[in-house]
Amino acid sequence: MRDIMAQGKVFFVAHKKRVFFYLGILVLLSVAVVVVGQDGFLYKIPVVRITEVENSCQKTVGTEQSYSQKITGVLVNGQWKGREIRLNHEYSSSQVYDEEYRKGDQVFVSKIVPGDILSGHISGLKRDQSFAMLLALFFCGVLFVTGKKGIFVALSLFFNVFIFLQVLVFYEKGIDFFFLSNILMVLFAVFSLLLVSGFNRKTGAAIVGTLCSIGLTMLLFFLTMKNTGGVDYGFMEYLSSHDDLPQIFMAQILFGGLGATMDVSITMSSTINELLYKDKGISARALLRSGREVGHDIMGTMINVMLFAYVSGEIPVMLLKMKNHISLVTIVSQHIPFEVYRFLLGGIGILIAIPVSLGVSLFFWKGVGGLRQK
Amino acid sequence: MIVALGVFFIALLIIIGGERGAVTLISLFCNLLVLWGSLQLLTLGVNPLGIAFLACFLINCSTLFYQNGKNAKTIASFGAVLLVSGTLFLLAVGLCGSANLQGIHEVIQQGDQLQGLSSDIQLSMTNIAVLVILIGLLGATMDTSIAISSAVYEVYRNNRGMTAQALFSSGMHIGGDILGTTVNTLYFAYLGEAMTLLIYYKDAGLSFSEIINAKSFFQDFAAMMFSGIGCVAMIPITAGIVSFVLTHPEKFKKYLEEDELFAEKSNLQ
Repeated sequence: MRDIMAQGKVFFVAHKKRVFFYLGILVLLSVAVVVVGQDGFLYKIPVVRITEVENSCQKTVGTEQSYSQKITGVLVNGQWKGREIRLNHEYSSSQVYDEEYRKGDQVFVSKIVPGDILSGHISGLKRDQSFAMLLALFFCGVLFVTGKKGIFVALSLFFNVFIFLQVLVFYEKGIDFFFLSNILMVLFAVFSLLLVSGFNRKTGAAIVGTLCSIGLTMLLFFLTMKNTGGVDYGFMEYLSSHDDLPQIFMAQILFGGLGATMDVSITMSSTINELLYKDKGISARALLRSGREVGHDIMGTMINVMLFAYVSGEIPVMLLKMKNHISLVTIVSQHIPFEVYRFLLGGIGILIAIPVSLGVSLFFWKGVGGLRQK
Repeated sequence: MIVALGVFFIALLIIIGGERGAVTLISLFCNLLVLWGSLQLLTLGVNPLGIAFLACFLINCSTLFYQNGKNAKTIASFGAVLLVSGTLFLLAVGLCGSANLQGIHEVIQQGDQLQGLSSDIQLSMTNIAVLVILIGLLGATMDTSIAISSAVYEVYRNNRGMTAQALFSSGMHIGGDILGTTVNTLYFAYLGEAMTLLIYYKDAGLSFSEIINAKSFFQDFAAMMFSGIGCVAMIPITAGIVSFVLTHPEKFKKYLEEDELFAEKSNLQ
């Protein structure tokens, strides 16, 4: 035990600056999360902090219980700030469409009826503190684990989010979404890769590799669409009133696989770079073999990333439908085709990226001759 | 169209991946089977939290051990994924409770997709939300973990004399290199998924504060952030476990029989 403490002391003295830097970030982010919990005054909609909840089982609907809640709370903003309010709310035991509120929750309230005791209607839970907490936890983790590199990871993420929001503004003005997405994709690829791996030949090869692979994937996608009767946009989520659903769908496909394709390309070009760095005289054939080997190692888990990211989000709706006696086969083939398309095309993108970015990297370092030696 | 794309996908997997492609295909199929089984069990009313753990365990086995063999790399990754999933499980339970993450969000409810469906399903939607988060982050954490453990393994193969501490710091270094691209992969995958939702918000004229408090946004956001946090946590934990396993092979003898590195070693003695 004393040994560990002594070691800790040595570490602390040696890395005083870093320890303080990290502690500073930790404190700053924790304060930020606490502050976000108290930011009711920023909202125009009335916010209520619940001080008391009385639950009673009201009735049985089918096989489920329906509960009613008598909620007492205090308004934290607006003209009635500090006054007490009484709210009624109902929820069912599985909470498919509704939710239970608890003491200490903050909720948004609409339709306030003035009177001796105010009353109103709950329109939703205030989730901004959880939002801030997750963000803070993520960035703390990134900075602690990767140090300076973490700043670039965070920067590239912020940049990507910002650019996408900008594009939505342009889209509002009536510019074709797919056209915008293509420009956006090039921007994304160039900036993300530059931020992640710096300005060098490796990054150049990765950018060209990414763009070529995406181009090929999209070409394959268009050919399939043309020759198989295309897509039924009736099941596209949320946006049935839009008249440019095909463009939006293509943009989704484009972006869904972009991250994974970039990942494969940068891995390929760093591998080639590393191999050449260790042994300048290495033959194109040996490079090709090693590159393929690495490609085989990464493809399986990358495809799994896509699978789980896409499937998991659909589970609640799928369960609701299965409970209503719709078979899983029907759901998968007819109700969530877009998830399936995205997964398949993401997977195809990853696979195509392996030989394409390998070829591009070889070309970048060995020139046309390197490619011929194949 | 699905059939055509499916055929392309499988054909490419075999052409580009060769034998490894076939292995990937089988493990992918196993994972789908596990998901299918989980869904069936869920509709029967088995506790979602138990299923989440079982599914995590089985998917881990099929992806790590079947796809990549039984060796020091996969054993370390297996341990790390279970450890991180367990920790994030607790976090997810807390968050789903406090942010009311359960159920089907308001934007789907407004559409006509669910018309005529009864919500009388006797399932705890809060627990299902936890399951969704755990399954969603599985792919990304396994990816990060195997990348780090196999890189550290290669480092060790070329420098047998390295101490656990040196291996750990080289694992952390590699982790820093891959984290950026993994985060990008996640960001774009979820952006593709949430794009229709974001356009919907734009159409409905929602403000930033309304969006971050909306259940629909928060569900996707939480799924993405949990995957991100999982990947970050994976780096030190995998690096730690793999360097321990590599420098203390005698403690894991039972599991390392098929490992070329250690089988080789015992042949020499």
